[in-house]
Amino acid sequence: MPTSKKDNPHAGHRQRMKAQALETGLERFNEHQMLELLLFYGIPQKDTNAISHQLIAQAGSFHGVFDLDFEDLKSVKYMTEDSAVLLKLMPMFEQVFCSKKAVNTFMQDADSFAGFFMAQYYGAEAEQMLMLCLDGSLNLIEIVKLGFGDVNLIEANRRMIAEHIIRTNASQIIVSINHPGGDSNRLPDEDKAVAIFQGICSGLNVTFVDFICVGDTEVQGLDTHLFRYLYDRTVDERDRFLRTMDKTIFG
Amino acid sequence: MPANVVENPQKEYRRSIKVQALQHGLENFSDRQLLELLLFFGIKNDKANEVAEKLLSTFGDFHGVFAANFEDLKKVENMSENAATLIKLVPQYCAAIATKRQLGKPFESREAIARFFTMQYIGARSERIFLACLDDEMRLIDLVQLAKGNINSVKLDTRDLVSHVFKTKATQIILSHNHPSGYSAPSDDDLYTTTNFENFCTQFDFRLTDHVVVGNDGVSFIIAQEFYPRYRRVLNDEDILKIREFAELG
Repeated sequence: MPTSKKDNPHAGHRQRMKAQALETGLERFNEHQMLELLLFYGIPQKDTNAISHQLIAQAGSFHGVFDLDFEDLKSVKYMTEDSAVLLKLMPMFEQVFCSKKAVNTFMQDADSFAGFFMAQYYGAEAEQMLMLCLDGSLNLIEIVKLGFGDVNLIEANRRMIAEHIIRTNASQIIVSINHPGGDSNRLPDEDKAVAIFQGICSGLNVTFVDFICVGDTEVQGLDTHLFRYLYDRTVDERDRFLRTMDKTIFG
Repeated sequence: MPANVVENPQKEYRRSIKVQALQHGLENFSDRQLLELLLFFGIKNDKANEVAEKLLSTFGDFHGVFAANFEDLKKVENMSENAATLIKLVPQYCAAIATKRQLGKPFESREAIARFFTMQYIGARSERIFLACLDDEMRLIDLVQLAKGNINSVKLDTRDLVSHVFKTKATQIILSHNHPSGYSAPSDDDLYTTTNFENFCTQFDFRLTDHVVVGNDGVSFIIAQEFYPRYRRVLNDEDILKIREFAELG
């Protein structure tokens, strides 16, 4: 526990509360503690617990605090403008979360999908392998830069690859590699790489969706026909397709 | 105000964005701007914009950022621990506010129910079951998290559930679970359990009003909505051939 700020007695307390919130979530917190924690942002070096009591008393309830006018929030003793802004932002973000559907930004159609990979490798002079960790509906969770393209290195780094898959909670992956100054035809070595990835995936119960080779002007997947089919649908069509086909098409 | 523009342009910039948010709401904010606004709390220098951009490119989209691990968030360049904590906490605050606001009040519409349960699962990376205990008038008496599973399965303890229902004196319940990495369309299993569970609840004199599934694409109501064919199938080679033919035809 880094309690280095010796002149601020609340530092350790704040650290502990944040750590607890991250570990167990807010479920164990009572209303005052929840508010106290949020007020850490924007109110340095004050006892925010006292402020939170005052706020809840004034608003009549926990959720009422967030509906108070900005000016009313600011007028409470020790409240800062920043912390008042943060409180007002919470209900606004509630709206944002509800209105924003997860949209698949990189798989609108085959062209934008190909474009996505071209952009990833734009200007790259060395070979680089990327692993796209995806969720069950092919939304991107994270792009992992594997940093090597050599079969032997892939073989040697099985564990590292598996760790990335587990860490990101991916349920499907797409792997891509570029051929600087070349076309997008798959090389024999890369066939072996595909086999290794398929092996890793089957062990982890993860779907290996595709292996994309990126040339200077074109992009190719494992199966040219399926590539068109999969990536050239509208989002709705693909959704419906995946839903009825139970996602096993990629297997 | 124009006098101190030169004094600290960054401070002035932050102020103007905050004022814009408070006065006009967040509707016109892009994903990057929304994140940047949050990062103002916790990132003190002028790197908030950059970090927001990095977050989006690393974790895919807006929801991806909030679903990311704390440790992974911290790894992003120039990210501070405080800001990462805030990102993990915001969805929880939103859920808490939504829940507490609803307590004792009736759900007015199906949209309200959908929104309410959507909020509970923002940033969730594993399956969870929530039980909403309601009275005759559809007023929310209590919301409890019954179980937390791994990425695609979760077990329901029926004894626990019944004890909550009795404790709150609820007469009807809404059950919900999420598909953290998939569509809201219920699985065969979901349908089967729901039918069984409807009967189970009737025995004890309360009603399963609905079973709500929250997915990436939205919300499905299993009981109230007959919306999709009740079958799924696995593709065989023949199917794949057909698809290829179809694809060749364009």
